Amino acid sequence: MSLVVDATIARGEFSLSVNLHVDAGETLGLVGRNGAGKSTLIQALAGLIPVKSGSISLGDDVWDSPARGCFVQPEDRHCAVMFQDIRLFPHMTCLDNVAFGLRSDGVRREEARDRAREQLTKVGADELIERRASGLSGGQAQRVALARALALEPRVLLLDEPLSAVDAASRPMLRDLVGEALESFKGAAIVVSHDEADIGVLTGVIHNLVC
Amino acid sequence: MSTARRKSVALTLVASLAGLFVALPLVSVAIRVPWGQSFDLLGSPLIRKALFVSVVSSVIATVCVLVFGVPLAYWLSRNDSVAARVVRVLSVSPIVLPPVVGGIAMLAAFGRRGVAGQWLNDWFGLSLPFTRTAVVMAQVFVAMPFLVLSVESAFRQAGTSLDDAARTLGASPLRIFLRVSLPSVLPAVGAGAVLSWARAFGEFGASITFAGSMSGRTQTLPMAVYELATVDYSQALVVSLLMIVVSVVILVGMRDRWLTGGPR
Repeated sequence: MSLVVDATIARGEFSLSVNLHVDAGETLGLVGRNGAGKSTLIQALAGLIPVKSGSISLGDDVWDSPARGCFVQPEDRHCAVMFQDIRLFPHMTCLDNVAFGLRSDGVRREEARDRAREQLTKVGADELIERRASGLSGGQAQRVALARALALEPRVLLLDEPLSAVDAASRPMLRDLVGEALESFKGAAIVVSHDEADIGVLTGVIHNLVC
Repeated sequence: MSTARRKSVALTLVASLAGLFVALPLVSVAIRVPWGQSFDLLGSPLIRKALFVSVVSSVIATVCVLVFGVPLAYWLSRNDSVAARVVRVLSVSPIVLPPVVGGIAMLAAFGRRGVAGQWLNDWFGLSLPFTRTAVVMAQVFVAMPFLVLSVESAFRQAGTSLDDAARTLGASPLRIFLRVSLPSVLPAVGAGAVLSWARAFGEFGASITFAGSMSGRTQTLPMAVYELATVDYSQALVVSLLMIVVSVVILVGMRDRWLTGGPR
């Protein structure tokens, strides 16, 4: 199933026209200066803001098309986002953060926790399981956020500046981790970055966002 | 003396006068209270009954304020429509409304011939005025705004970014409210609940108008004080002191635990 975007997204004065096509199992890298609308595009893909015109669709499912009167709510898109500002739930443990999506999906508590534990182990964050999300370092938080996005086995994965919060020392390690996650991810994925070097390592296909 | 210095003396003088003006009456209550017999006076049947009505009704009112006020605050914080603005102004207005007007308004709505009251009377044979339920209703009416104001601003401050993250993870609106939004504003909910309880506990005007002042049924502590003021002044003093102490304890507690955000 491929993610197809041909839309104009507006936010206040700002307007952005995007034409993208990402196949399942493929990762598209998006680069662009600050203010080029990368995060706005992520929000539109996730369904947090509607497009102004055009359409977003995944396979046969139309997610957003004002002309056809279609809009699928974010909670029904199975489109996981790793936000630039991370947005872990500060009052929950890392385990509960990762299990949150599964629980929302109706997975039983024990099973959700088992799967969350497994996911956290995969991203090398098993020692953080019982820790509260509010006390994590940037790199730790980003690992947990990656686990949280992957746990739901989403149809689309959006990574907004996935390496922004880590210090230079742990950057290569996290980059490898994100790379592996993208490698094994079966849906369509988009990675946003202002750093072309990062994008180059993570994906072969690069789309330059200009507004 | 320099001008600046004279100014600061004048300021200090005015400030002291203002402080004294408020503090003197409160301290005077403590000075005039018949300390020797105050314990006996607190045990009088009239006071005991009123204290019971006050404590029970204010606690129930606070629970109602929480159950209804928190969702209202949430809705207001996520809404900027004209309707939301109208609702906000109306639901917060009891703060500035004369309490007795609140009581009249309650009668107009829930009295025997009230807008809603006549239906309650016709359909269920329910008559609310001058009952204990009326005491609680009047208290909820005047106390709810304190919770709504405090909690709404906390919801606004918390923003929607965590809500958005929860939505992308497939959470329903109710689940987002309970598991994500609400936990992040709990301190404000606590502060609002305490303020609301204090307002409900001290409620007089709306309750006496809508619920009356029947000892053992609807008479709360403030109503008892009012009644005693002309009959048994020293007893009124004792109860007043009790209520002053309660208020001061609450304020001090709020300052340390919530208003300043507490020790870090």
